[in-house]
Amino acid sequence: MPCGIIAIGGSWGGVRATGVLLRALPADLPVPIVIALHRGEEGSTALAATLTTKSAIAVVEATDKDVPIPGRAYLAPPGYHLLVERGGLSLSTDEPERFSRPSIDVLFDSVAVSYGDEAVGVILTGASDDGAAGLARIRSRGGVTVVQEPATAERRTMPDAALAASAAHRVVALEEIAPFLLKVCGGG
Amino acid sequence: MSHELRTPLNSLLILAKLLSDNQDGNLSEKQIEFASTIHKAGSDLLELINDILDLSKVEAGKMDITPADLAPDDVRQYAAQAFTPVAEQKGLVFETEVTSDVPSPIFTDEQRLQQVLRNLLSNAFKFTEKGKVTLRIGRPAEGTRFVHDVLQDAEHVVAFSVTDTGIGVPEDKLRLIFEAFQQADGTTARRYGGTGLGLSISREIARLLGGEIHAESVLGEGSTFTLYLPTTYRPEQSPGMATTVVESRPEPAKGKATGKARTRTSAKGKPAPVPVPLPEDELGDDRATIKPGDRVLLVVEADTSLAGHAVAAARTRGLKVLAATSRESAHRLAQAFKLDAVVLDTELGAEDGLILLDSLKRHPATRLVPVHVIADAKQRQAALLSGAAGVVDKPVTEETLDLAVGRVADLLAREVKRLLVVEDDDRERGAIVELLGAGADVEVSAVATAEAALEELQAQPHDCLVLDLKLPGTSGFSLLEQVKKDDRFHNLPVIVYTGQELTRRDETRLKKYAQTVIIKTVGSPERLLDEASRFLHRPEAALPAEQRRMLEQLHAADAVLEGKKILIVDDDVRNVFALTSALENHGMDVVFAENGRDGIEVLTQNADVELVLMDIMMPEMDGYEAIQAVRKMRQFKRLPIIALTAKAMREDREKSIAAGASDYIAKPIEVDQLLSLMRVWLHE
Amino acid sequence: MPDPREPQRRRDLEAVEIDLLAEGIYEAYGFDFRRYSRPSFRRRVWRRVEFEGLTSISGLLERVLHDPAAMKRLLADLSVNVSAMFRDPGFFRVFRAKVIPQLRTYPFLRVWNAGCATGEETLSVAILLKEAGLYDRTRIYATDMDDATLDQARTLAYPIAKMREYTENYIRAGGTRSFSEYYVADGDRVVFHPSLAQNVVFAQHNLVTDRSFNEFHVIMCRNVMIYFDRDLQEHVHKLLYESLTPFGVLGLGSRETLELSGHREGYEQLDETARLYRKVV
Repeated sequence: MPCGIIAIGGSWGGVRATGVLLRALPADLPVPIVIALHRGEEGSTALAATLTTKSAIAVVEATDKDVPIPGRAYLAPPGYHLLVERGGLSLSTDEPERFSRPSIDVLFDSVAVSYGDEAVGVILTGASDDGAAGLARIRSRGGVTVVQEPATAERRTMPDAALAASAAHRVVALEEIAPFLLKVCGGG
Repeated sequence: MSHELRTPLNSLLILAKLLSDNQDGNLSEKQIEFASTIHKAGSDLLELINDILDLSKVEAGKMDITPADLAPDDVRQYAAQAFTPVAEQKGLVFETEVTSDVPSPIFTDEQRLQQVLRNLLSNAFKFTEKGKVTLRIGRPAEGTRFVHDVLQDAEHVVAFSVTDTGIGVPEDKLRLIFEAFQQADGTTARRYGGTGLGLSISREIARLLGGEIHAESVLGEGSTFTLYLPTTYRPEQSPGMATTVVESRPEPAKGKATGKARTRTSAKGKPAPVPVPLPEDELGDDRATIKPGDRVLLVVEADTSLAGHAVAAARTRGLKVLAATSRESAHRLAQAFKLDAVVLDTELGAEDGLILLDSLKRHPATRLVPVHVIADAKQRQAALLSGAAGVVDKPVTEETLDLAVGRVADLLAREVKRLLVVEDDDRERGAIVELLGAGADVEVSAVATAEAALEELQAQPHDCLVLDLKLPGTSGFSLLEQVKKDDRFHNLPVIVYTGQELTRRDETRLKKYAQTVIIKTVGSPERLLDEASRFLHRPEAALPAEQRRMLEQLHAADAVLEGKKILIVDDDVRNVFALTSALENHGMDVVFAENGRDGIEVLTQNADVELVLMDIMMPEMDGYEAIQAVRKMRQFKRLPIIALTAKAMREDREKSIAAGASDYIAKPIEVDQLLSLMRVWLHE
Repeated sequence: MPDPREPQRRRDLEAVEIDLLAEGIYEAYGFDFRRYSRPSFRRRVWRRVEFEGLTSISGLLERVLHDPAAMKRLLADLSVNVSAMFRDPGFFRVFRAKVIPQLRTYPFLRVWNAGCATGEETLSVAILLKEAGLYDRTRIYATDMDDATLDQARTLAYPIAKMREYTENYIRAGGTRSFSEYYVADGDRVVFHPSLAQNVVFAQHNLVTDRSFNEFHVIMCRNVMIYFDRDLQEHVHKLLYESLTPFGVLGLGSRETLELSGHREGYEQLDETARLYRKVV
């Protein structure tokens, strides 16, 4: 089963956790990463820059119709849903889902539909249940799903919800997520 | 120009000839006929082009006169030889005669004289079906009056009369010919086809030779065209104005034996340019084909083979080139032509080229012309001090000449654009000139009144007009209307720059003439600069492709459309200008409203409107509502209304029909399609 | 035994259904969604499937073909791009600073709010121009493909719950008055002052199928083209470019870009961050 894309979702504590995860990934990661983190509508655009300086992976805020490049991470912009299809990213300003825009479910759902069993989904720390349904969707389409070990999460609501939806193939501590992804997707 | 015109036409003629010969034997009768027609039409065209080139040459004062001693009988013989076959072919008698009282030799330009006689004779043969054509070379009849003083002295005048027994020229036609003569620019002449043009050329040549042409005609009896020349050509004799005397003799009225009512008219034309004796054209340069607007380079090079190379190099760069091999000939060419640049080799045989440079820089006419000098290291400094625009180091080779010519061509390619500012406030005017004239390639002239603007526009071509509306005397509005009436200024981009409050009606009115309107405020200098450079550097910007296409889709007026009153109700500004102009060009009378409500008002005021073009998407009242409202008025129940819409869906179409529109056309509007549609609905 | 290729096949089936739906709507109604961006289109379609109590996209196709009212409901779903007044306040700040001075040089202004949906953006622009003293000589054409959405926009009414966010945006956008001057509260909604719509022409226009209908000094088309695929975006960019007067200004959403467009050369970007482009060629 080839790996085509890694999708990461998180909210409370998610920025820090994402940083930890990305820092452990090499620049020559053979797949692109898409990330949805809950933040204010007018969230700081400095986030991508902050994440980039700490990791080998370049993190950019997604622009509509970006073509994702392996070894790069695309962050859902504040106030937009990020959606994925083969060959390009797209944005939407549709209603927030579960009070969130960007919504992790929206991102994961589009990843599941477009990448099927080539999708890898990761749920990190967070204080809402957004992402659980999306992760389950990735799993049902044959993708690989990982949930941060709730005990290692700053807020365990999100990982717990994902586990409750029996969406996870693996439950691992934050530090072990990157090595696992490398095993699944190669590179490094 | 001649070369560029004649070469492709020649290939066309040759190929058409080959085709019509059908050497491969694989063409049908019809195809052969077509090929012959192409050949025939092409030949006619070539003749016409030759005439036009000749005419422009004489008019530009570029036709050289090479006088020599000449026996009048030689002229007669030439004519007899040339036209006897024509006479035989048409079954006409051709008589030639030189009277004994004609002095011999005469001193004039043989070629030019022959050219005029050829023209007069071929006209005579063309319009004569039976009888004879006579060429009589003699002294002027007693009492012949000349316009020009030199000719008044009959002792020194010889008359070449061509008389035919042809259809004659009806009085009104003779007047037309006369008018054609009067039109010094040849435009009217062109309207009357071959004869007019030929006669215009003949007239101009006669003028150059110091003579006149007179014409007499009796309808049904024949015509006589007479060329009067001084027996001795003197350059300074060339009369200052074009001169023609036409005599019209209407058919003698019955019972009036002496009823030859003669009308004599003399016409004043434009002043002739002072003839400049030009040096010989050793290298076959472009002196004969230079027209206004050409970029002219003078190459001064004593070595004819190198000079020839420079001529070719300049031509490939799109320049017209004059070549001089001596200081003297360079001087004369510099006086005769308006030069744009000079390439000068300092080694002019035994002469010193730097002396020429110096005198070019002293003469007011050539002072500003850039001179590029090919000089050695010692002369370099001197050349620059004398005002050379650039120096290319010796030795003089084909390469260094290429280099010098290339530099000049690059320099000239940076075309200077001319912009006219009309602004009555002195300080404002100064500021605008500062702002717009900053670029090296823009020349700004500025005037304070509409009157001065008109004068300036007439005086020289401009690439853009910046206009304040509020002017003393004639207003900016009237100036615009006046200027745009003139075909020459149709494409002149106009920027209205005004501090005036404008109403929407003003804007609509302006939109017809001005490309853009700028209100004076803090940010306007930037925009003025942007808009001006847009028009100066991209001339096509004045008329966007869409609108240009609309205007290009014009054909001849159409009886169904002519004189019809059309109401356009549309807020799409692009249609105000283009659509209105297109319809007006078809002889329609266009009234205009910007929205549905105004449209209804205009319609009630203009009950004679015969068709309405109704935009759908409009403010105040949209097209659907407006059409419905119009249909509610009894008198407009059957008025054709065509909906204009940017919408593509069937439903939209149905909606406008349901509202009461007669028909429907999609934007952007294809004028041809619209006209067809209008013909259908205006057809009675 | 479960077919290991099942998920793959299922995905293809859904794609086929979406194709058929778009094709069917186009054939029957003339609305062209065939080049809409798939992921968003799919989400919106599924939402309608669920609201209609259906279970498949094919089921929705059958319903909209036979029931024009259902088509209207779907159209409303597909038309509404949720916006906010003064969304991206920074955009409006830059607009005030860099576009307004240029607009003052025109005797009359035409602004096109393309894809206006329920009119939040339209009113934002109207307020901004009013505060700049330009509104009286402006005409704003607010167009959308859906008549029902336009009808809603014409009411100038918005949920009162949104007002806190809008007010914050207005202030951050550099608003010069008190935002409450512009509306009156009426139960659970607020209604904006009719004078704001005085120079607004709400009109139906479909960016996908319809053509240019005037020449504008400003075109606002923010977060509309994100719902289109690249080809369709290019098509619409052409339409917008043709509809801009020379030196006219195009406003896009904060995550939209002209970089990939064939029209990039025709514009200069007015600001490093705000997506305001000025037509230059």
